[in-house]
Amino acid sequence: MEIYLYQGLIGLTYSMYLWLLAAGLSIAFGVLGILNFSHGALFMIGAYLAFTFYGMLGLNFWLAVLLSALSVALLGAVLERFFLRHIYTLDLPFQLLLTFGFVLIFDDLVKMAWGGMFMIPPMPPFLTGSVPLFGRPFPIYNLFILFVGVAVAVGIWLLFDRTWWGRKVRAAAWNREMGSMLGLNVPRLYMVVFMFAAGLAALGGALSIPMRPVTPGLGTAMIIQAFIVAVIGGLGNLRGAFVGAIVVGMLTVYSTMLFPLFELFLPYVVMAAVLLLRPQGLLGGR
Amino acid sequence: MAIPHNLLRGGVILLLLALAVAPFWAGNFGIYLIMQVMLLSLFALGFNLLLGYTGLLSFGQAGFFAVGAYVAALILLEVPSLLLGIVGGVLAAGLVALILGYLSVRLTEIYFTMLTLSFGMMIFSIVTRWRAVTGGDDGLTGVPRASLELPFLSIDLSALSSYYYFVLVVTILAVWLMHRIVNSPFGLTLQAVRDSAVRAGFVGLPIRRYRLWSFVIAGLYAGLAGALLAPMERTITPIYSHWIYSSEPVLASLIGGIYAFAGPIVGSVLFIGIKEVVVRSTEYWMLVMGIIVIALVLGFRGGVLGRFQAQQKGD
Amino acid sequence: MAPLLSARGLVKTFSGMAATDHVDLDIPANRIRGIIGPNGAGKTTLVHLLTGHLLPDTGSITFDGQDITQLPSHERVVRGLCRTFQVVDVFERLTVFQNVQIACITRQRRNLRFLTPSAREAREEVERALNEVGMWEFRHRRAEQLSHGQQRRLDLAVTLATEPRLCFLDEPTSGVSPRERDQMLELIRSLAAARRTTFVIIEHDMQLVFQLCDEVTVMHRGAVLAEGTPKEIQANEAVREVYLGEEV
Repeated sequence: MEIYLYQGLIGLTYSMYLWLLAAGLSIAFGVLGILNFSHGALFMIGAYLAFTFYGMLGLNFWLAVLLSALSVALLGAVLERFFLRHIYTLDLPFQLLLTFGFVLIFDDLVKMAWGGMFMIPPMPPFLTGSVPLFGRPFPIYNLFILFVGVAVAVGIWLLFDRTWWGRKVRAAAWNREMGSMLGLNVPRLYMVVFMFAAGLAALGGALSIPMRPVTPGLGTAMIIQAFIVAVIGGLGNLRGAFVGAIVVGMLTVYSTMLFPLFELFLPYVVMAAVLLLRPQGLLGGR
Repeated sequence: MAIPHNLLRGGVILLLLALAVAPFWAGNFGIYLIMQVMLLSLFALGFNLLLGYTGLLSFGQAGFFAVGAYVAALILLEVPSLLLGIVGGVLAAGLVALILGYLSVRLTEIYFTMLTLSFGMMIFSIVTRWRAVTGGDDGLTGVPRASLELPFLSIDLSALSSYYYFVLVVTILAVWLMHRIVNSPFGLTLQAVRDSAVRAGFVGLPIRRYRLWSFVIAGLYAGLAGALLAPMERTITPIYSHWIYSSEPVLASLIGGIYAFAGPIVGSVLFIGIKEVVVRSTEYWMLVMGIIVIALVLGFRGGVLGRFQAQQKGD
Repeated sequence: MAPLLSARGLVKTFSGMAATDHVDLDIPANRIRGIIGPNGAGKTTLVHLLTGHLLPDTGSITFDGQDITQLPSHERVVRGLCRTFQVVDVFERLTVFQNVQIACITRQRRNLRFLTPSAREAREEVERALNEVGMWEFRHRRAEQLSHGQQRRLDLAVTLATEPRLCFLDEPTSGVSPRERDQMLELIRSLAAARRTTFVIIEHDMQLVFQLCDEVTVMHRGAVLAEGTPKEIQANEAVREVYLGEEV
């Protein structure tokens, strides 16, 4: 019994990465109406940058994570301002293809800058070690991730639900004319929102480095997970992304334990089932 | 710059002549490349029937490609009859497309695309884990380039150039067939469904049924491309079912032009050509391709052939 | 003579609000009917229900003696019941010729021919339909290149090519110039006389409705307020009250 609870916590930890990744994807879709294929790549770049700042340059861990998130947020600003802005009115295939173009470029840029091997940085010293939980040593770093995930969830909820800025964003979501009629600077708002989404993804990537090797294939691997989570929770729905992340995290961990042969298969089945039975996702969606 | 009809016909004839004698001027690597282009063309032609003509973007076509490839390979490993292998692969892909298509056409737009993506990856996960049948990560190796057994004679295709002619003939027939399809009442019906599904319904068309037809044909062509690949490469691995592989016909069609019949073909030539050229100087061909894709989306959504089309249809 | 189209007790609610509130309707064949009402009266929802774009919560619809309440729209078209839309909807990337052609091909049930070239299919029928609306000279133009008024005429031609018994025209003159509006009026009148098609016009333009229609149904808040000849409607007190403040 205890092993199930323990694995559940491991699953929840994984869920928090997925949440950080999918939250940005959902925000971008919910507000800008764009499904960003390159979101996984942004996660990956965040990881690579954090590795560089912390693992290679020896900067303070917190600083490294912060810098990574900010750098990718800046990258997000460039992407929105010079590229995404031109595709809001295009058909879906072209929107997906543009962001897919980003994937191709980022995957190669990362290889150019850091080489093709995988890297495993050291764990920050104050977060090493473990506490006994359910009869097993549970890494303190995992607890940290759980904390960050929940903190981000609460923070985002407060931001979009309780702040003036959040209200502006919700007004301009999907409806630029409505937004500008209300006197909002929609283009700048969209850019800031995308910066925020990109920064979140990079934050997830940066925080993941002590736990998983950083490889050029990380982006492509993560984007599919992000899609699954977002679809299950409901495209564009933040609460849904949180729930979806938990579902996928737990599913992955438990199926690896109980049905290892189907572990790869099950998330896609759930995704397909949700699309067929309740396309707006578990939590409603737009 | 519009292309006069006769010039077009002449160009196609010249092209066919060049292809007919390719083994003599292209060498083994050359015909290997040409075969890659032909297979991608078939793959992309089927894909574009769904996108350009029916308005549905599928990101899971690699699933059907892989079914065609694996089934053909499995058949060939048991029974050395090329015809049986190819036909088996195509039919299997068609059957899977029928089943998955029936479910997929209930959705549209982004949901359709996401569903096809998940179906494709489901096939990927099956193919990767079902070691007993598919060889798992290692895949199937040693697929024989079996001879073509016809009622009156048996043609040995073990030489690459011989197999090249087989693929060439099949490709020409398949392209001709697709040309007839898109210019037929059925093709027109698909385009009407694409332009306005609601209006198509109010003209009396059961739109889901036609989307399904389009989906199945796309699956058959993907399966054909996969089945032809099996004896060519002689090794089939799970990568052929991954969504990354599904992006190849997408890119080829976009580059060539999704609203032109020959778009996927031209796009396949350019896609593989660009990859080959770039790889000579740098390994970062994805970077180059990504830049091209972005440029196309921002400026040339009709693709290469879109520029010609605009003048040809005219005002 | 039984009415061509009959509806009994039609109800459709959205989030608790009745867009269609127990509507009974009878439309006899070969007379031009108009449906009018202020904004939000439920005209368009009613048309959606009658043509199968939406399904009713309760109620029944009979067409030509057969119950069609649950039938999907494309089936209704096959039986001869069709419509045009408020926002003109044509096949944009197809040519004018092809727009009508697809309707003819579908009528003749020849859509599944996948090996024969489509260029020559139904040529006579297409020519006839386009000539009826005066669009034959534009037959090679792409629908998206037409003016708004031309698209409306094309829309009408496509609809007529399905050879309907009864055809709903949803605001057929919205957005067209006054000259085109008069042309449309003449067109509908002559088409109603020449073909045996029953037209039902949903309109805001009261003048058009009174000029064109044999009978008028007035809707208000999802229910039928009054029915009668244009003269009777114009004299009706309840109708005048509802339209107080509205442009007539």
